[in-house]
Amino acid sequence: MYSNLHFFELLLFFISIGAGIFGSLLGLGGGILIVPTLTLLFGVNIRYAVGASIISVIATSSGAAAKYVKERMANMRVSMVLEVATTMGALLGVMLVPFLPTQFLYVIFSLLLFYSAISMFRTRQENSLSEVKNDYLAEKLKLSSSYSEKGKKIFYNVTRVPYGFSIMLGAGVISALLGIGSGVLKVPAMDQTMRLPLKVSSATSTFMLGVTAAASAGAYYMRGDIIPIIAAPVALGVLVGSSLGPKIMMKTSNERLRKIFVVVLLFIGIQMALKAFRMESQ
Amino acid sequence: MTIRKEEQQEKNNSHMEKVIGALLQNGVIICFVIIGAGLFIMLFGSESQISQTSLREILKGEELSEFKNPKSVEDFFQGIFAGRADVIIASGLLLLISLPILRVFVSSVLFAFQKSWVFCIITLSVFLILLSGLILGQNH
Repeated sequence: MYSNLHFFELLLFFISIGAGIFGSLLGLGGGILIVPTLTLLFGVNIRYAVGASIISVIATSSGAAAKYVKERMANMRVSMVLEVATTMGALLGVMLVPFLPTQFLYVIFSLLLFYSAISMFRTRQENSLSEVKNDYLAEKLKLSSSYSEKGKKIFYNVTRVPYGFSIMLGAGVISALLGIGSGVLKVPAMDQTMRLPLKVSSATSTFMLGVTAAASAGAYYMRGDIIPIIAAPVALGVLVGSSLGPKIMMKTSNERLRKIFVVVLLFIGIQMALKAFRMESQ
Repeated sequence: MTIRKEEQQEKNNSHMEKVIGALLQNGVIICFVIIGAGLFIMLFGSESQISQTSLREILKGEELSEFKNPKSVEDFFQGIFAGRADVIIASGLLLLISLPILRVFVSSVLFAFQKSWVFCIITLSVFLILLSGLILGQNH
């Protein structure tokens, strides 16, 4: 009565719940879990895996965003300013594809991740928020805001907006070129450069990710890379998971989130370095 | 005077958050129901469209032709009225993809109502970049 298909769909649904929780908690979108699961565990064609991963990013973003916006965890004004940079970068990246060597990009990307991991590890203390002063743009655009943690309202300012904007531009280019969710670059940029609290950085990144992914999702759909049999259980699972992620974030601390994030950054950095290395030996 | 201004700002912000939050929340629920219904039909419908043996081939991408995504409005209406699971799922997925783009557009309109012109232009330009990306993507 129950076939391989039923089993496949059910398993994929449960794995996707995990991807949704993980992705919405860290602001990464969950693609880094979906692609290896599909290709390595189920032998799915890489094109379908990437298509499903795009769907998972969008589902993570929209599923968690409602909650993050209501709780004021995501800073909408910051995200709207930075979305200009990421979407422009993505568009630029698509046009640059023929001109840039992919291997070189993987090397750069992994170095960036290692650098982010080290600098994020070094700023373990979260008590320096009050030292951050708004820069000119943050003041003009009224970017500073507050979020609540354990019933306490925590105010924060935003600084070095032009630098953050430039990094987002680069993140958009790289994510378009390598097909990698740009969350791994967005979160450190907001946390380290613009000095937003880590939770706010993750939530804001999650909020933004949907827009970046939606920009390329249309093309993937038209090409036939998003197929119902794989994308449906992924979308459903991720939607469930991403409604749980924000609840977990309310209960966890910035410090713990930071530890998880550093480990994930190192893990993806090694993965990317290996990819570049493998291209070398081919 | 400045306090009044800040109060107005706070009011605008929370209105924006309510609308965007509700849009995404309801949108996501509708997508979940549509995709879930499609998947249910696919798995438990009277005529399953996928034979057991072909699952592996489909996943490997060897039967690409069998799963052509519906593209035109006509495809969608015909498929949905015929109760075809893959078309129902595809329409839910497309709605899911369009949610973030819709969110950007709605926020731009709201900013215009609030007369926050700087943010209206910021969100409008994001919307236009997204549209030009879609057009570029079609030509690729």
